Amino acid sequence: MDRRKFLSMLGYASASLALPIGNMTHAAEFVPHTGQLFLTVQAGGGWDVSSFCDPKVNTADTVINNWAVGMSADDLPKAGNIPYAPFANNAAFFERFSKDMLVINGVDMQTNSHRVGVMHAWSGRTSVGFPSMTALFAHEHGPALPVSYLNFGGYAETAGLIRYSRIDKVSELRSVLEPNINGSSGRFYAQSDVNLIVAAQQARLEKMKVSDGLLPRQKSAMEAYYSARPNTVALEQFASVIPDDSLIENSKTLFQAQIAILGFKAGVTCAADIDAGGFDSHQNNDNEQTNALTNLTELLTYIWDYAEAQGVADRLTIMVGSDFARTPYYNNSDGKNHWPVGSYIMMNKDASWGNRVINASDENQNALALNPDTLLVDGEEGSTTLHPMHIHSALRNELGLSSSGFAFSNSQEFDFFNAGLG
Amino acid sequence: MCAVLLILSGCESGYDELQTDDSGDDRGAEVTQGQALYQAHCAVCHEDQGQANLGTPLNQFSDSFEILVTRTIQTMPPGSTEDCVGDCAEAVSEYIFESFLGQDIPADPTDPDPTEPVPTDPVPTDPTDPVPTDPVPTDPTDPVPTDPTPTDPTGPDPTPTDPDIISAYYLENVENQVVQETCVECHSINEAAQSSDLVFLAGSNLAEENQLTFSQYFSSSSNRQNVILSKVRGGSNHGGLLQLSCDDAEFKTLENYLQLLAGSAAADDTICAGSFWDGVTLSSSEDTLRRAALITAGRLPNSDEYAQAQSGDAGLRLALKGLMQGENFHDFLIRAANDRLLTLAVAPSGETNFVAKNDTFYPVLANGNYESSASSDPEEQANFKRLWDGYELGAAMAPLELVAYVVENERPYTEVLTANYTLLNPYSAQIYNSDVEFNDPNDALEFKPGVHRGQILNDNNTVIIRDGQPRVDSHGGFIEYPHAGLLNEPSVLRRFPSTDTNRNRARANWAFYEFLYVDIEKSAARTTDPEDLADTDNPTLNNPACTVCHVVMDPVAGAFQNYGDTMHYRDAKNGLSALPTSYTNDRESEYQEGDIWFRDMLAPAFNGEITEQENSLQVLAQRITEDDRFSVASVVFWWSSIMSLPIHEAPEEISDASYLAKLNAYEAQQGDINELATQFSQGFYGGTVYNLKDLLVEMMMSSWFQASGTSNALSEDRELSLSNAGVDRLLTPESLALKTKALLGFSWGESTDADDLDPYSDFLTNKYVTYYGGIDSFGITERSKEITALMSNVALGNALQVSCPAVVADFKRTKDERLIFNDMDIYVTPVTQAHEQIEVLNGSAAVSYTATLSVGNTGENRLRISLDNPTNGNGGRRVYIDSFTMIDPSGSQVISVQAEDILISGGVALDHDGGTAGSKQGDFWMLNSGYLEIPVALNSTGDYQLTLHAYGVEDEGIDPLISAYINDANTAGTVGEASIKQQLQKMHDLFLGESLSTNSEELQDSYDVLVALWQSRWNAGTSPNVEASNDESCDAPAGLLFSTEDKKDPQHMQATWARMVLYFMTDYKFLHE
Repeated sequence: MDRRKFLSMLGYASASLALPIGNMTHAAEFVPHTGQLFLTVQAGGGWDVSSFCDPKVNTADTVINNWAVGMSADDLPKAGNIPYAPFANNAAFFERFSKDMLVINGVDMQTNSHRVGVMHAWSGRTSVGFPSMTALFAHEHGPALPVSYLNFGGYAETAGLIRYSRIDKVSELRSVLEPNINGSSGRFYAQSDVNLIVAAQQARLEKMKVSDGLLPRQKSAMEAYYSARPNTVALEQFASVIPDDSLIENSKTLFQAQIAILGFKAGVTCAADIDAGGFDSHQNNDNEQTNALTNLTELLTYIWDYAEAQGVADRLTIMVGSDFARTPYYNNSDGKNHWPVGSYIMMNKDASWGNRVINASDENQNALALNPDTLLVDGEEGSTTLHPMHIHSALRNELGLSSSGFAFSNSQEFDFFNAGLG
Repeated sequence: MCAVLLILSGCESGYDELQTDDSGDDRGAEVTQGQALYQAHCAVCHEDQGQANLGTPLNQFSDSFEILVTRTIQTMPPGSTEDCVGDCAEAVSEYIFESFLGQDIPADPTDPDPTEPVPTDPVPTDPTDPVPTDPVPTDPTDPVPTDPTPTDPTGPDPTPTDPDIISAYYLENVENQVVQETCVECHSINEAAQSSDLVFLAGSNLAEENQLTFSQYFSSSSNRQNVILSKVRGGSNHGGLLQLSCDDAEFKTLENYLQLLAGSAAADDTICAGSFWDGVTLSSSEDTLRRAALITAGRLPNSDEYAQAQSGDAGLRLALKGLMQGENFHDFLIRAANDRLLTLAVAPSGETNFVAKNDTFYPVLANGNYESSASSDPEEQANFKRLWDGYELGAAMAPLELVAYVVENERPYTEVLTANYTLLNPYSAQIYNSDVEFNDPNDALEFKPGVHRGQILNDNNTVIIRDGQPRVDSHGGFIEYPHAGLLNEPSVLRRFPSTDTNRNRARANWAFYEFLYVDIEKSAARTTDPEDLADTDNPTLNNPACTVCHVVMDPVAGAFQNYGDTMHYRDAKNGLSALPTSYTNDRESEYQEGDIWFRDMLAPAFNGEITEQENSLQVLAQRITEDDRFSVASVVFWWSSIMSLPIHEAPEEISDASYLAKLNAYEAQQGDINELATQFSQGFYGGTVYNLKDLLVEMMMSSWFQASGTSNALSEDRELSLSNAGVDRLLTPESLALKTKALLGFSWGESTDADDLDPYSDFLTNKYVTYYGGIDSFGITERSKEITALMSNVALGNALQVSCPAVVADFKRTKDERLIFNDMDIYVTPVTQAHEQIEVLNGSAAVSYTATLSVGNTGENRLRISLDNPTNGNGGRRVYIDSFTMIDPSGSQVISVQAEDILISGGVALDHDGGTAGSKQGDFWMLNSGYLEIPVALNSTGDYQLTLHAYGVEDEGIDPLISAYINDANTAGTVGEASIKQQLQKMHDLFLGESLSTNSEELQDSYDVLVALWQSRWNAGTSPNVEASNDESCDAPAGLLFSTEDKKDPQHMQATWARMVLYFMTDYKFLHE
């Protein structure tokens, strides 16, 4: 006998109970992100741009770079329109990507302090309270994505706009993405049971969220949990693009990039910060910067190659920067200390605004003033020293981000992304 | 351009002619007088044009006129600075400014217009004269006099207040009570804010000069009223942090004064937002105790503790303090300390290395490595590996264990810096040549106090043989390590290393922040001047834009002088210092033989010079603990461990929309922190001083911890201000693991391996710690404060994997021993009206068994006779039923069935797969699975007597168990519902801290979930087992075994309860406390 018929015959109530809950409709509604993507590559510690994208030969008084002994400015190599230092593995990087990059030199970071420099570089101001560019991007482009903003340990102030996620070990990642999978085929509980429970909890939380008398911390925590839950399908989608362990990058930095790009591919992530350290070269500057810059260019190359392979390169914008730069001279330990005038690099595949260098520093790496109308260092009235807020302001415009509540105090706008200028 | 610190070197007295001059604002006359004074008294050193053969040149500097006046008053002439103040100082300064620098003196906005008549009622020049009492308010906290002039917002000029009124008010209320009492501590010459735009004179009878300074600063920008009031409350980048709160009388005094200065243009009195906790409700003592217990003790309180907490605040305090003992509290201290000190990063499992195994500064280690390397004995190699790893673990934990030792033994908390000992485990004790005895020499987690005598110097006595691995052949004596508590714990020094050019500054910065709550970078205005930032002339010593911080930081860096870049004491080649060769070998450096500190840096000092060389850190430690700021820093150090969120940072940009709201929060919090700090240093309620347990108790008694709701709607600003207050902190992975263990008896993935240095591990605190928002102490050093999708999946994983085993394990226990289901019967379902279980003995002939079924409801029901413990396969456990009868409470028979006729009697024999349960065998119905069921109409309530005539066949020595049920058709109004709801009510309390009434909506919701989960199995023919398919897993946790019997689930209630545990463990309130 059919059991259900029998139960009915016996007079048992119907199995379907009038629960005040849905059936995980959120999960079914997951729409992968297919829009713009944003990455920052945070060269932590203070990169030596004089050995990278703002190359400096030595002056009559000072050895700025050992590699430049005997060289004049005319000897500096150029990739397209972009001069670079013949140092580390720069040549391969610039030769390959010059058309995809915009270099902005002579940016005064206004500090020699790491903490302030990092905050300034990635939030655009030296005072606390503004979100990182990545947080702002994730907030506006993918606020509902389950892993909208990935951060691996670099600067990640969110100013309460969004929450960032961290991923550090792939061996645990799969079980985090699919917690109900037990071994290769089984589960711990039938997924229908889990869905029923989560749906009931969401219904309960919905009621709690609108209770009277909640403190802001309660509201925020409830909202965080409420929005975190209905992502089963999305996270399974993420899990489905994670390759075998043998294909996971061993390098900690490349791993970050790989996971971020896989998040992009799965449509669960739209923004990420890659933490690339090793630049604080107070001793043995040339060795340390060689290693750090080589790692950095390898990382950027990897990002573009992997993004291309995963089919997301066309949508990706990368912002590369650092706390500040390093002195245009060596200290007693063959190192270089902190120097406030540094650079940013923006990258985009076949960027219309690529193959350009905007602004400059002088031969001693002091910032020069830039004309906002022409993007030339022409000494015209209105020319201004560039600060991170100018770069952030222009990039916000380029990425279509609002400055609501987080407007900078800049009186001038520099349209770095206008290929007709500079 | 770099500012220049001026030292005027005046030589003799003779300034009387201007001391009593009250000649107004005749600048020309002042310059003339100033010239005369200068030539008479100053030129002898500073020369005619200020070029100076002695003292500071006066013909090139960048200080403001006001600063120059101030410096003149405070420093000139040397030895008798009282001789040239007031007009004398102004006249000399004007002469210097106009003649040597060619600069005009900015007009004094408070000076009267020379074209106007002199006021007829001047402020008395004699400070002993009484000040006018009218219209200046006599109570400084009274509102300022209403300006009779109507304010015209469109008018171009604000109406100024009478200057006499302003001066009188300042003299009577502001100068001593505010400026001298508070401001000059930093805002005066040679103090921390000497380079700011507001520099007062410290001392008596300086009201006139200081008021001038104040009014000029006020007039220099249009927004000074709010800026000043913000800064004294700690906002707007105020290096001195909070000085006055809105509730302070001095604050109101200052506010009044600024309103007088602003006249009719004064801003409204809106900067203060009223009492911070207005409308905020606090949690009950029970709730507070529960949260505190979970946070600090990793468990729930017992009934005695609840009772104590309910007896009033004193009882709650005692109950809270009573939690602070045992292993979990120890672990809480270790975690909290590591969240700040981060030394677990150098543990063997950490992210960075602590010590090389061939480190020849430690002969026991290096020689052990040598011998191990030379040996082919695997055991010897393993022993050395354990020694090395055990030492690294011991060293990494030593500072954390020191903190725990001090706190647990209620020693004065100052000892965390002043302890002249360390905490050793058996392995670090070996490396450090300590004679401490341990209970278990192989227990790397046993720590005892001892001293470090394990390091040698790299001096002429040391001979190292480098034949393969290095070996220390001979050496001088082991140093008596000058322990300075945490400050020179090797792992702390290793975790916060230095470099040749950093020169211990990072360590100084760290010490300032952690133990004095001074963020040096924020203690002074941050220069953004590119010239300052690019200065190459030893700017830390010479450039005021840099010295403003370095003058504070560098002397403390000097106190770390004996420690090199990593962690060794005096690691330079000669063993006499820790100076790097890049300095000592540099021909251009000022280094001299015998130096132990850099000559181009400030000498070691903190609150006075530190002349002690070998133990300068011990002196620093002592002085830090004697500084009032130590107790404040201690509160800050522990704040996040209790509140889970960091303290508010002072907002910096006054133009930010959120500025005032954040300032209010900052001010309120700082006020409470300062109050806690004061009591901490004096002893809470007459208790011992610096008792950290008492401090933790008071932190948990504070509104910051106990706030649980609001009685009225909050404005947007109030939402921001209260954002860090109150309940619902996200549990850390460690707390979640402990809570899980406290409730279920085990943690997710817990295991114990005696061979490991740290034998115990579980998934939340190890494998998934960073995924659940924890730290790795190296790259990830801040805990997540809010849950994300990935984190919620980790919490789900925890619940998915422990909930079923927890339920099976609990039902295995006797009811008295159960953790969750003490009063619950596994056979009670939502439709149960009555149930009894019968053990049918093994045999071959039927005997009678009776059971009493107590029925509370009448109506159409069903009698079910179910085999509870079937086994699979032929010949398994079974029962042969001959017949069964049931009589109602009045004695009337309501059922009488010969079992073999069950199907023709209107009943069923149904197995869980939908097939027939058992079979007819002669006069019996053999039941080896499933159940028999038959409708029955119950017309009365009371006890029904069931008589079963049957015999059993055992399997594996276990007789069959038969359950007899009377089941309702519905899940509402049943005995089962009442029983289940009672259990759910208990679980809401246990898991979520919710106290629900039996008819609450929340309880009904939970019951509905349970019914839905149960019916999905009951109605679907699911196998009666907690692991009914590949989609279900219920593995026993470590240390337990589940038999096949344990996993049987005849009524699907084990599986249902397992899912309800999952439901509770992933509830918002389970994850937040």
